[in-house]
Amino acid sequence: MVTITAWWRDGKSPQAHAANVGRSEDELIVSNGNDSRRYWLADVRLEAGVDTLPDVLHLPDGSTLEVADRLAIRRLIGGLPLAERSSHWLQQSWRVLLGALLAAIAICWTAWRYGLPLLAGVLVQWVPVGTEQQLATHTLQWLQQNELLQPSRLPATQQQALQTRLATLLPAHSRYHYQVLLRDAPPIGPNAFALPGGTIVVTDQLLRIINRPDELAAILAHEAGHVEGRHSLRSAVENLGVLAALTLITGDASSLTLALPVALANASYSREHEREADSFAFAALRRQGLSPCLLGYGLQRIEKEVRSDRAANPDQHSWFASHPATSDRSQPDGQRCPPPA
Amino acid sequence: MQQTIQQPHRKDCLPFEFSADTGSYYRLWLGNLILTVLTLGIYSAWAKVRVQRFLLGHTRLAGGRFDYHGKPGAILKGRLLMLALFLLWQLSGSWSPALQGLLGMAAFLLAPWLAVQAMRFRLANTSWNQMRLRFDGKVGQAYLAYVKSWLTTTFTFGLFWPRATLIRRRYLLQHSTLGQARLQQQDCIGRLYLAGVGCLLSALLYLAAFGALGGLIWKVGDAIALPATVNGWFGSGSMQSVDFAFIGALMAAWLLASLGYARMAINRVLLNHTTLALNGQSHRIENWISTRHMLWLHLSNALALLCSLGLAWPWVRIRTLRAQLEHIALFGAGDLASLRAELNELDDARGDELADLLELDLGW
Repeated sequence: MVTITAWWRDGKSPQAHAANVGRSEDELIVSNGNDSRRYWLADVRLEAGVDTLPDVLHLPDGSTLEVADRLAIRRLIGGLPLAERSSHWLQQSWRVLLGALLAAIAICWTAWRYGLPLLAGVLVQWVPVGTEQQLATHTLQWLQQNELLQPSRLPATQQQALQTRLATLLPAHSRYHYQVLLRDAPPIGPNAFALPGGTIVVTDQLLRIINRPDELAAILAHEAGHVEGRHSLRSAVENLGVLAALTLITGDASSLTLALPVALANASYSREHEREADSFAFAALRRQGLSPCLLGYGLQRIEKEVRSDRAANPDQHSWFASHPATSDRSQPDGQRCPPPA
Repeated sequence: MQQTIQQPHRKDCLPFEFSADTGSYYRLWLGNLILTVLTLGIYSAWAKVRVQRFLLGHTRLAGGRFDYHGKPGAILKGRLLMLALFLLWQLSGSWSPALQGLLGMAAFLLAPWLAVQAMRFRLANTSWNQMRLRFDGKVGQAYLAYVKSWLTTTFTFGLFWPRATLIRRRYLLQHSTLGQARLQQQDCIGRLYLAGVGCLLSALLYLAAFGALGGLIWKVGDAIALPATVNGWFGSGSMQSVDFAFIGALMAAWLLASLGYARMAINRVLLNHTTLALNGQSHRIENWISTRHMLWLHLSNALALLCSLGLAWPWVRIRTLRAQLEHIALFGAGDLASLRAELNELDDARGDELADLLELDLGW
């Protein structure tokens, strides 16, 4: 019979006694000189030693056995519990650990790059149009209360013209009822943005820069692409997903350390949405017999304006922070555009 | 910096020893981190058990090893409950601020109960030479101590914080037992005030050190035209974000160093006025780490964390624990070998159905 040396303690006093541990059938035999005790293996619990620390066997009478020879004792009682096996295996060598680290990074990256956007796309399909419109109403109210948006100073016919133009660009059976709002917004500058549920806000400042109707149509189509793709809701789900995952991992929601990874992940998602809206706009322009290059021309005009504005006032927040580089976007589907007329 | 350890060589000295090495802890930490990330935090309960078993298992008093026996299931239950309550509290803010205030108040009122539960779990699952420690404080006494402590703080606008701290700590310590041995907290209000002043001075010292370091880096950055380079690469104004991140990191490092020092300095006073009563004899605990050692320790810790973006954390933790434990010993004529735990106490702690149902680790 195999015997393993161990330190036996009764759990009531600090003294340790040398003992021999062996096994016969389903019983563990602990012999201490002339005295010998038997325990059912099923009643014995093994606490595996972490790293180089000894294993501890907990016996049903409250006493313990400390065993330095971990391999022998684990073999004797029939292996580690399943839950402990993986972490012990993971920790046994640096090579295994680094491999696991790489695998973990790959899994996290895949989940972030493909898993979460896919999940968000599926989830937002369950949100009714009415809810989206409510969200848009709240956002508009907030923007107006904070005086970021003010009534347009341009004639009402302009808004009507935009509305008519947008209607020609939309797909035949859209679930949304579109509405273009023209607003004066000095703090926001030249911009157009889509709210969920089909509301597209165009600023007076944008109309001042872009006076070619076709380029304006391209930008409207791009925003309609955001609405059709439900990008606002998807961003909300994606951002929440990143935050929830990081919170679960670190166990702390308020930590400032989370701010940077969350912001980076979100910027990447919004770039993806911009690309999707771009290709929607390209398709819409082609259906109208227009050149997809128009979007790039329009964006370049905005960028030029924002640049000169920013040079004068470097504190201004950039509209292009979340957008792909404009030079990339002026090459729809890889084809080069001629310089704007 | 060479630190001489003046460990007293006396017959009645029972030293603490700490034998954990940094490499092993790095492996443990990395493995825990990977599995925690892959399981979305669920593994963190197992991680806690493994870390506790590693750290306590490498700690010896009078030659006897400590050990941790917490069950990951209990810890996971506790964490999920706390997380659920925290989410409820967060969400309730958007439904109604009144409800959120009410929940916050409830959490405040539950704090003494939580403290008792946490102590009970922690001590019942910690052992020395495989003898379980035990917390036998009653919840009623906890409320008495905590309310006294809060009132002392509120009515003196925090000026009597040493008294408030001592009231709470006295309750927690005198109910912490190992067999018939029991911890006791002696009065040390004057010393705590002194330590408090020391903490403020150390915070100023660290502020000067990190300020000088930040200023130096800025000067060097300017000299090599860093702002222009960064602005050229990432667009104008991007240097501003770099500046903000840099200031934030420096502030965080300063806070880390100051809080680390404060904790250790206050702890030194408290430990030096803690005794272990055994068989009518009183054992003194002595913590003789020097102020200079502590100042350097926390400054270098913060710098290491700053420069390694937090990756130095395992190294920091092990060396801090080593510095602490290598300078603590128990003095007294009594014999720890005479300790006896009642077995029926153990049975009570394990067999109680309700305690089992409520067995949660609420201490995080």
